Amino acid sequence: MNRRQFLKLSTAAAVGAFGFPQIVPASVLGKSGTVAPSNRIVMAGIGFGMMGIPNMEAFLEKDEVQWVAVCDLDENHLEQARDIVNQRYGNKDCAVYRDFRELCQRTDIDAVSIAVPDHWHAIPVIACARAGFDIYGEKPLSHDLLEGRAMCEAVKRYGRIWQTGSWQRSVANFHHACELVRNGRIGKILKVEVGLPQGHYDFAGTAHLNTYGPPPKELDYDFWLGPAPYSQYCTARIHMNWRWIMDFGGGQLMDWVGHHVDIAHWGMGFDYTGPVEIQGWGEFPRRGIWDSPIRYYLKAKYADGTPMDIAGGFDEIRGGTKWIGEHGWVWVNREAQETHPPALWNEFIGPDEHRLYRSRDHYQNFLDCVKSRKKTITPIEVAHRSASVGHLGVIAIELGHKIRWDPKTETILDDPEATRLLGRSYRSPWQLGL
Amino acid sequence: MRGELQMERQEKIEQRIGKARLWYRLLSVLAAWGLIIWMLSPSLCTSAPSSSIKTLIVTGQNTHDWKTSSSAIKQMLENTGLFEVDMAISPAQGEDMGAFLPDFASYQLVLLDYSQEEWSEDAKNAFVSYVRSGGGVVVYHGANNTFSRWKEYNQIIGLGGWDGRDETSGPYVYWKDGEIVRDKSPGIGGQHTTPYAFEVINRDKTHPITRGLPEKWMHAEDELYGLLRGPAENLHVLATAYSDPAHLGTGRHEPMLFTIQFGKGRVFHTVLGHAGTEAPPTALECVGFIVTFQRGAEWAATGEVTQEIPGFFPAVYRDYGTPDDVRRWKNYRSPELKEILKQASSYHYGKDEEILAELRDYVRAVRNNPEIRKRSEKQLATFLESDATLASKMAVCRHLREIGFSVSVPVLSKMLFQEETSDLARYALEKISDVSAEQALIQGLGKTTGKTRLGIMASLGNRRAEKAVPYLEEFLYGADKAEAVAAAKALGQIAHPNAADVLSKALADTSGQMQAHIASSLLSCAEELLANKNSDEAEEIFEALMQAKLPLHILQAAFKGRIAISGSEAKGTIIHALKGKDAVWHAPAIAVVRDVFDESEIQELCAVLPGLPPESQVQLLEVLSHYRVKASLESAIQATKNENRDIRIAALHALESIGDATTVELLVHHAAKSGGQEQEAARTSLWSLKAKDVDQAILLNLAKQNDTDVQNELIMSVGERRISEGLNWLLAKARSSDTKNRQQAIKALKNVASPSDLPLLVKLLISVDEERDQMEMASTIAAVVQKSPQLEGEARPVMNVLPDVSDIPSRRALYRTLGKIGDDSTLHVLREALDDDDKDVQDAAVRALAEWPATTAQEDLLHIAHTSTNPIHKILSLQSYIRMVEMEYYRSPERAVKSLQDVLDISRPEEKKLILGILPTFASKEALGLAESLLQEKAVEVEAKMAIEKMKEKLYKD
Repeated sequence: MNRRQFLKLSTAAAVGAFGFPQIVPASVLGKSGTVAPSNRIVMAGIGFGMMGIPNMEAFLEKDEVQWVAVCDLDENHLEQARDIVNQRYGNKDCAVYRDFRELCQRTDIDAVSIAVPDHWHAIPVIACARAGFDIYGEKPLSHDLLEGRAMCEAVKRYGRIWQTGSWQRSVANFHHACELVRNGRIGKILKVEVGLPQGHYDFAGTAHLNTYGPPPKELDYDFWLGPAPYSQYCTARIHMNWRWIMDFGGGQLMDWVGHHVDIAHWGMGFDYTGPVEIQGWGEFPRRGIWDSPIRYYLKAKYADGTPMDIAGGFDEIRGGTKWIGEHGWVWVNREAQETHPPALWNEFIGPDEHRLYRSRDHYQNFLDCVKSRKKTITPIEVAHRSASVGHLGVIAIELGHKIRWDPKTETILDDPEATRLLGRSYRSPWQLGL
Repeated sequence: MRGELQMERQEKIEQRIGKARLWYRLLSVLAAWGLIIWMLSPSLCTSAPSSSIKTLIVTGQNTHDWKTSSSAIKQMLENTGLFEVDMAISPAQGEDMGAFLPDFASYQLVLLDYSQEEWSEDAKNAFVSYVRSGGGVVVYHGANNTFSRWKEYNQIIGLGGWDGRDETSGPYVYWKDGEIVRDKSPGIGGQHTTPYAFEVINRDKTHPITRGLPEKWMHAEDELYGLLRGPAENLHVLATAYSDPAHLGTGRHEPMLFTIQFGKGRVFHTVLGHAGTEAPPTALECVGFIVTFQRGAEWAATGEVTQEIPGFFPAVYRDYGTPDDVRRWKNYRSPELKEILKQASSYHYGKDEEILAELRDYVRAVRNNPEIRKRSEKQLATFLESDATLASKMAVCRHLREIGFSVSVPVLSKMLFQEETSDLARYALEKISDVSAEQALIQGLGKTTGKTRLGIMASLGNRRAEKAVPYLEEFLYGADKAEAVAAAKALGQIAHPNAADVLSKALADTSGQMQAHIASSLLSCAEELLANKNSDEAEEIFEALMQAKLPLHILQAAFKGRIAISGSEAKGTIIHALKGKDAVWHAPAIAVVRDVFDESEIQELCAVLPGLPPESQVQLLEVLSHYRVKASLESAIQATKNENRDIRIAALHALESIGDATTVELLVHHAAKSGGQEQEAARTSLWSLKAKDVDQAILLNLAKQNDTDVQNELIMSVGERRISEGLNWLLAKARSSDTKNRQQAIKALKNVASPSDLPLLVKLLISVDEERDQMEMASTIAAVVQKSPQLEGEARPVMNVLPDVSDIPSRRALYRTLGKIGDDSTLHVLREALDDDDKDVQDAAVRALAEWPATTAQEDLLHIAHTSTNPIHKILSLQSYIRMVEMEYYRSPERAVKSLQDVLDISRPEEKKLILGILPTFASKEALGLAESLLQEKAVEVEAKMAIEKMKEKLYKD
């Protein structure tokens, strides 16, 4: 028998005109589908090692949110998160999970906030999209480029709302800088420069705990490793400092590409595209437990010819984003900006000009879009495109030659070797699976 | 019979002879191959075959460490397998040079690593005739430092330095403005930089020596020779380097590698490779040096270069190179993979990772050479079969992921079937394109269990392995749930029509969770079918899914997919869904409206809107806001009157993009009469309305609307939209009897007034009564002053008026305005006012100075902080003083810290906290000291700790 016949055989309920069932028994199915505006948005969180707590606290401040569960692999983090929730509501109702897959079985959750290490971004995101949750996720979107594409597909397929933790777009000075550039106030853009941090930064204060040994009992280390290649436990390689290890994160480059490159794209209108060429150099440490590039310099070129340099540890590229145009330049960073000419910054972008998506509260924007189903200010496709620049950059650095990229088909041209590096195999039993 | 036997025997004999002949042939072929292999094997070249180049290194005296350099270059040449190298070592300096007569004629190549004492005439003549008659020469570094008066020597070496060389020796030769120039200017010959790593630029990509080398490469720390001069006849420059004045260089692009033709002889001259006191000499170990040296030597001897360029060559593909681009070879030859692997075999977590970095360098260097890469793959595969540590095998698998083809698959397969090594094997196998890798994975399905098997399914999914479909199918019906789910997911990734078939069959046979997994995978298959233009088959899948008992969002996804491909039926389906009782179909239907309806068709949608439940109305309004037509505008306007607040808010947001001048009144009223999110939405839309005449409509409304709340909104929008025609309105409203309107107008003037309006604004300032309004007006004036292009005498409009104003409130207002403007030329006015008789005037002066936007009032404030008897003035001044110290972030940290230290004794905890807050800007030893001194004070302990932490982060970052 062929598929057509199988499908016909499986017909159970009576089908109305236009081929969909008239009555859907609510008891068998999940939620009603969208949040009634008068109802609260039921939320849960996965990952409380670093950004998880600040994100959750921001959501807890919103009256329209009801937080019902937390999930983490470290008992200490789990308890801390649970206690924060319970204190907020003055009860002991917050549920705890160690396995996010159990969380995904719940039918009462509208949205999740996910803040886990990069190597763990893809699987829970796809699982949550499949489970029908809207998602606030962290940047960089993914640990490799193919994962990012799979995540975009899953979110799109299930019609989920996604917000990226690229909160700079919801800050006034970044917004204004991009509007100045988009409205041609410095003319045709001749070059974009993005300066990112260099080196490694000991976020957790654990750099000195660099001996390998058995994991602590409060951490499910095997689960924490998840899809990443096996390595023995070492405190300096996990909480917060995992990002300096290429098996888990992507160093400063991937950590920051979702901020300043994202802004660079926004100013240029490159949200749904990418470079056509990229080459670069990076200094990888030859020793020590942290192996992400300490200094790096990438040269990318976009289809319209615009060059973009992304560098960490080179004084001539200033930290932040700088667009250099025919008639001047605009530079912007957190709580600082400069233009040439200086008076340019005070120019007014009027209602009749090209206005960019306006949000002044990144978390509120997510919640509003959960209700209206409007795209957020940093939808997943946009996050994928900014992360892709970083992924391609890492490949270019590792291979030492120029990569040519087709942003429409998302393929590397004429370079099977580089193509191999676009994705990687997961440790069993973990699976990307769409 | 006998004849037959004889024939039989004959045949047998012939057969035997034939066999023997075959054997003989086989053996001789083997022998011949053996001989060839033996001949080509470099390790057997110590007793070199007859094709090697007989080379003589002339050395024995030098200003450099000739013992090290000569043995280094001997080794370098021998490592190529092309040269047979002898040494001619002269007597030591001071000894008799008479007997020193190397047998040049017996050699094909002579390498000069000699400088100092003159040779005998016989030796000189022998050398010159050797070269003239076709002998090859390599001039190496220090050999050009000598023999400045020997004419033929200088013709042979082309350029030289030191030893009294000057313009009589010949011209300077260097690269300038795109070409080689010969410069006859007078001056000394020969200088060199201090040692540093520098870029060498390839100037001739066609010459055998430099053909195939990159445009530029990084040379290891070396002395860069410059100002060389000589006859430079028949001289051709191959590569140059910029001699950086920062390292005491010439600022010119000096020649590094060049050739000379002398008679029939070819000369290769390299000025690189200083061998001083460092051992081993960094410049000699530089891969760039070694490779160019070897190539130059072969060319000088034979006129051709047969050597290949190794992958280790330190090319620079960016704007400029750095010392990290330098590559070194221990023992002057590329490392052998088997040595690296031997060392790596004991690698375990926590041990020195350097060996893994060396392995990485090796793989990177050989990946572009197919032969070496294949050999390496074989060696890596063999390594995997050894008893090396698992950690080292993982490192190797990472590289096989990059460079593996078919050779390593058998070994990886064996690893795949064992639990302990399966993940490692898959790391490589998943990315190896050869069909054998896929076959191994498929085989692995049958040979493994548990999570190992699950991992293999994951890899097959990632590979989109269509051939695995029938094998995966079996697991869908197996008892093991995890395997069934994994198989379903893999089939969804593969998404081939065969996978779709398998999944469709399973859809009917499963239920609950498992069915949901199947359904998810089928959705993926449907998308793939659509991408390949198989909409009919995709449609069937969507329909089947919608009839199954699946989680709602899967049904919704299927519904969405179905609508999107139903062509002309799509609009009808959407409308039908929206009209239906079941709200669950609304969201997916609304989600595809924009793909299906164009502007002329949305009437029907607008008609449906009011009947929808609130959440659906909110969503549909968002979608309608993208249609700038009358129908949607009317719908939105209607919806602003809905009793449900969220619908009203959604409608107000929608008006931002579809509203026009006629919408102004509605928005203004709404903003005036509502609060919170609703008011925000109304205002945002009002301020962003794009259409023409909106500004005019606002002004018209200002004229006709009487309600003060409405007026307020209108005034605000004049400011937000910067309606310059509204200036007069604002000036009038700034005198309004309604407080809110007045203040709103004064604020709005900031955005609307221009510097030419300042006299009017100042007049307004002194006519305003309430202090609060005065302060607001002062801010406005200061803001408008900022807009003027010139930065001097900005406060003139205020100064013009000041002499004629005597009433205290007005004078206070004017002084406060001066404080906000911050025109330094007016400081004297405020200083005088500090001593005014009237206490209120004094107060205004102090506050004005405390608000000063620049640091010029710093000393005044310090004085006030110390001497004032008014505690409030003390505090204000002190806090401002601290703020001004922070403003001078560019000053030296010591100075800043001292300024802060000076006021510690008059600071309360509040000021100390301010100080601690700004210390990180001046992170330094001194700043840390100040913070540490405050650790003792309980009241500021927390802030002190934070400041110290922040500063340590800044100072001691990686």
